[in-house]
Amino acid sequence: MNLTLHVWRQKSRTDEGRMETYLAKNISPDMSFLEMLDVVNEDLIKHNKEPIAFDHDCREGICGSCGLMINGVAHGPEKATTACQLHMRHFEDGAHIYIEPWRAAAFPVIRDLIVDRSAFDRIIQAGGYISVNTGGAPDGNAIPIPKENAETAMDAAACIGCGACVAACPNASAMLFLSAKVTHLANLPQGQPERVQRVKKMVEQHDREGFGHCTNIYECEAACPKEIPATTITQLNRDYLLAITAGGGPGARKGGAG
Amino acid sequence: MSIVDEEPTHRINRKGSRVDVSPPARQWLLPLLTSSVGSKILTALTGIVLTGFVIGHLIGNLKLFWGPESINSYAQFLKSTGPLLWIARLGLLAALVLHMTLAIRLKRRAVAARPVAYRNPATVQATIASRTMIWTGIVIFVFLIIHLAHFTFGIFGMADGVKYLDLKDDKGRHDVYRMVVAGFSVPAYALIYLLAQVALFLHLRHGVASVFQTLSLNGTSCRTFLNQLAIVVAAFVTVGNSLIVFAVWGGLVTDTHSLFWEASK
Ligand code: HEM
Ligand code: FES
Repeated sequence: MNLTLHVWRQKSRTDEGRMETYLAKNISPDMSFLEMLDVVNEDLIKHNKEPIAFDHDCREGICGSCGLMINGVAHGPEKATTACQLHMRHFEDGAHIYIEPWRAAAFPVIRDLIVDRSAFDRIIQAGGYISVNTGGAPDGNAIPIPKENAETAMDAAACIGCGACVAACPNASAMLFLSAKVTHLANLPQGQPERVQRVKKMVEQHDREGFGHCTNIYECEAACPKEIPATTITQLNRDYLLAITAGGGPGARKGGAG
Repeated sequence: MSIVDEEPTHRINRKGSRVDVSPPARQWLLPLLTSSVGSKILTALTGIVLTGFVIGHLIGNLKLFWGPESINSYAQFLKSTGPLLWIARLGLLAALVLHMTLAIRLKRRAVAARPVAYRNPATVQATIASRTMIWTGIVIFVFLIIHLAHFTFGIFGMADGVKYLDLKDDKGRHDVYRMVVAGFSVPAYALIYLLAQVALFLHLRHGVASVFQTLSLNGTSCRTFLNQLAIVVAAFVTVGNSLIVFAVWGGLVTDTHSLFWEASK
């Protein structure tokens, strides 16, 4: 198949950047979106031109590196699919495809389609952890955890930190990312001792990084390749409200699950 | 958790738990007013107050269909509550000011959070109502000013050469009934009211469902239900208010006749 690509090109953080048009010829529908870009890049290199810079690592949908805004939709048109797992058969032959980097003040563009997502790291550093002594791994199932809590925590822990939620949100809010971590740890016994401080500090850091607020629009949820539900944001709202008004609310310090 | 950055705002109590001993304002008021999640919670709480008012206001207005005695005596009753009325008015004003201030500040931060727009933007599942809250809010605010100037302060508009606030019924009360009939008989004024109702519908259609998420009052599986609830509430308010305008236009409500009232001349 043959495609026309409109791609954001930007030399450096300070460069203004612009959209440029490329032809992608003889693309197999079985290629992934990134493989299609590889083909275009090889052609560019052959013609002594600068290849398109994009982030990628695992190419199997688990690392969260490959963030691309494809036709205005984070990770492209397929539900629950990262750009690296998106196949070209989902596009029509002859289609025009717009490829842009994640857009957020907190995610400055480093080059072309690559953005700096270290704001996420700082949100995690602010509280997205539990303080435990290192040492031998504890026995599996040594701490009883209700099935429902375990499931909720696991679903939230599926976040790969790709930033699609920020990219898709009209307010460039990182609330889904933040709430996934808060929900993950709030549902496990190990997360309880720091639960109250965690949510306060993570929200504080989120705001300091310059992300917007949540307007309950749920574009994030639709964009999330791991299908993290917006109900994690419900949990975040509740934990935050209780943390600032009632020191975490009833049961907050008991150390029990959920 | 580092030991150094936790100055004396925390203390270990007898049970061995860390408790926050900083002044209450720093513990909850500041985060509520300044953080993104906190501001949103206050927007929701004030939104509930305003929504409650809008619903109550409509129910009062519907008395128009029962004729002048019904609505004029209701207006008289409201005025007779004296200080209570003023407390309610000031409370509503405070809620409105807080709602607007926080909503506008959040919106400005959100705009700053995306300085470069997408060249080719798309939306997957957000409703139009949810993406236009600031605009429908501003329309509601502008309308509110017009509405207060029109009926509350009687700054513009006349009924047969008499100023609205000087209209008296046969018992000497302010004749709210004739004022409203006269007001909506002017198509230009009535159109403004109808337009504002469209904005109010959109604002409530997202707002009423949104409040449950912001205050975490929703369960995991009730999004569809809450969306339907929001549509019902928004439609109730908008259709109810608009009916009054249309009833005056259609001659169903006149100086001598209303749906459930016939003047005995
Ligand atoms: C009768 C008047 C009003 C009512 C009943 C009302 C009601 C509501 C409700 C229920 C919400 C939902 C809060 C939430 O998302 O949790 C809301 C949000 C909002 N309101 Fe209003 N509102 C009114 C007036 C205004 C005005 C005058 C403005 C003007 C700026 C405004 C701007 C907003 C904005 C921007 C939001 C979205 C907040 C956000 O998600 O960031 N509203 N409103
Ligand atoms: S490259 Fe790892 S998720 Fe796409």
